Amino acid sequence: MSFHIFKYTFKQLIKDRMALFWMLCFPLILATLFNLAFSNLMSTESFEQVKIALSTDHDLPEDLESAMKESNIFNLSYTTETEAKELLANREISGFIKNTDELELIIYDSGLNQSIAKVFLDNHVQISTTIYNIIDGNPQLIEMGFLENLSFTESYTETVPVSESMNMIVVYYFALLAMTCLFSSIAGCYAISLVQANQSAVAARVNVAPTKKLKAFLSMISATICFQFISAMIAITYITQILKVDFGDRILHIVVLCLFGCFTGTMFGALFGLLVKLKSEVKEMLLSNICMVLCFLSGLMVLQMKYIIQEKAPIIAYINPANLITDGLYALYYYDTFHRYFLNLTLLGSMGIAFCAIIILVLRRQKYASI
Amino acid sequence: MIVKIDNLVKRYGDLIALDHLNIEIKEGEIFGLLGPNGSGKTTAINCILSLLKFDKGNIEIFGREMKPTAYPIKQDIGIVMQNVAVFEELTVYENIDYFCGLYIKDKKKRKELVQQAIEFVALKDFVKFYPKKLSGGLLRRLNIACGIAHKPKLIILDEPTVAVDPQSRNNILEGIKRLNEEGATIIYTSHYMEEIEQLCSRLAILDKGKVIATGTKQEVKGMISLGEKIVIETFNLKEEHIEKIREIPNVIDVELKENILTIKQKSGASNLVNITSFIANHDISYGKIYSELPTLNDVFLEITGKELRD
Repeated sequence: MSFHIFKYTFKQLIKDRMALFWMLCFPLILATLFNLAFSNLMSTESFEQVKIALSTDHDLPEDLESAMKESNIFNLSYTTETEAKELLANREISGFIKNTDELELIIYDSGLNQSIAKVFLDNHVQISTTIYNIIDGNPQLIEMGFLENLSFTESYTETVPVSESMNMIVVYYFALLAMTCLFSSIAGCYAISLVQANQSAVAARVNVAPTKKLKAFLSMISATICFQFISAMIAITYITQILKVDFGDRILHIVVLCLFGCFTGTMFGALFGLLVKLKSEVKEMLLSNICMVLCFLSGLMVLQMKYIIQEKAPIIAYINPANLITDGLYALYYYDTFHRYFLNLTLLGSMGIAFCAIIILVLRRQKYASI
Repeated sequence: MIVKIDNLVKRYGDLIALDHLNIEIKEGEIFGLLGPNGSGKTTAINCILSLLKFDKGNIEIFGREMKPTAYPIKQDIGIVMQNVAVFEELTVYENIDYFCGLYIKDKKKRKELVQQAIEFVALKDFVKFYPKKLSGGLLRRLNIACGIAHKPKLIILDEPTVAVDPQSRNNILEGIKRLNEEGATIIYTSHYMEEIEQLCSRLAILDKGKVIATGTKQEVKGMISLGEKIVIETFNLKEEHIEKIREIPNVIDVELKENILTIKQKSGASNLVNITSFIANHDISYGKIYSELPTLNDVFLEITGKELRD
């Protein structure tokens, strides 16, 4: 690699207002707009337990009380019916359960908490009644271990431990980071135009020099990746430190994924520039549009799109670099394990290496039929 | 021989851009490639630089075969493109340093060379300027500085004065002469015959990809029958006078256009005395009379039947 070319390519990118806007400022502006739009949704909504009083005037079934405690849904208190009515009137509880002739849930008005309590109680009553009826007709079932078998359930899905605090809005910011990484493709496309003599006068001059074309290309590409990576780091710092969006505690993993994203994005742009025979301006415009489409498919504009693609066309999800970045960040944030993160990282890196290999093969000893 | 082009053929589909081109350029000369637009000058240059594939032939530079990976040969070549080839985001100094750095790795040496190039093209007051702030002439000078900063032995200039004002053009031409005096061999392409006449020690005239004449200026001009042109501003010339002038020995052609009579004659003894006597004897009133030697345009005209700038 030539440090001389690296240095000047980096300088050019810093001085290029268009590159600065699209590769650095645009993601920051978009992050700010996201923050304004989602500010009310960003706070993590924690589930509040439903406050239910159990009337002590009559005995309640023990299994109901223990089931309610185990469910962790209810905040139980024990009162007389009179006190419970008073608490209910003061909206201090959502309802109370009493056992006169049968189990009853008394509520003051309808709502989500009341519905939860009602569904839970109805379900309990139904199951209890069913079990009593079965045992009543077949008492030998108790000896056969029927009651033990009742609690036996077989799970056919793997339970993956998930992080306790999560916020789906963060996925938008992940898609934004993916877009930031992919915007390096435009600079990659420009870099390839500087080593192909049929693309620009500057490239012809570079080709005439005794510097190997691959060496020049790799130096330019390294500067591009470096510049875009710094842009991504600035975006992450801005989003987490200024906008106070919680990306979790795996920043190092996020950084590595962004580095891979910048590498693959740059190589994607360079390959596009190498294979598509159009004017530079047209190619760059097409490329920015392709980037936006890839980001759209990864959920940048509509979050559900990511899940729709994952479900209906998983192949697209696996070959879309924007989705691989978004999904890798999502996996880091959502899951305690690294399996899915490393899968995305591997796919992303492999894609970048494949692009790079094709570029090197095409560029080697290239002469042009016309300039 | 610095450059040897042997039987070079380059086709674009059915169009033959270079048709069995044979050129030899000696060390220390300024060699001109003259021809109208589309004659194959730039294609020839691109083939010499190994930028373009060609269908047939062989190119040697410094006695070795030129190919894309001939880095030691490239080390000693400087190119000034027809289109200005600089980075818009880099200053004058940075641009020269960038391109010089592709040839010279040693930082200290490079710094000296860049300074010398800046002084050579007189851009000292503009080193911190960006290309878009430079005038057309200054931009051309920057383009030249980027091509010659590494002190190449062979400098190829492809129409470096296109769209340049006369003052900048003279500066550029003077600069090229100085480069040659400092030891560089120059290949200069242009469709301006005046530039080639003023600058080049030898030349080749190209038309439709073929060399139609090559040699020194005198040799090339000697290839045609025209030896002298006598131009007279006349006011009462009749058709019979023209016919009689045609009969004067060594006269090849006589042409009257808007009171300007042009008499072309074979090389040899001057006919100026005979012509002026004829005018005096026939009471033809006249304004100015002058004689001129054939130009490269005359050479081109006689060989191809069309003007260089057609």
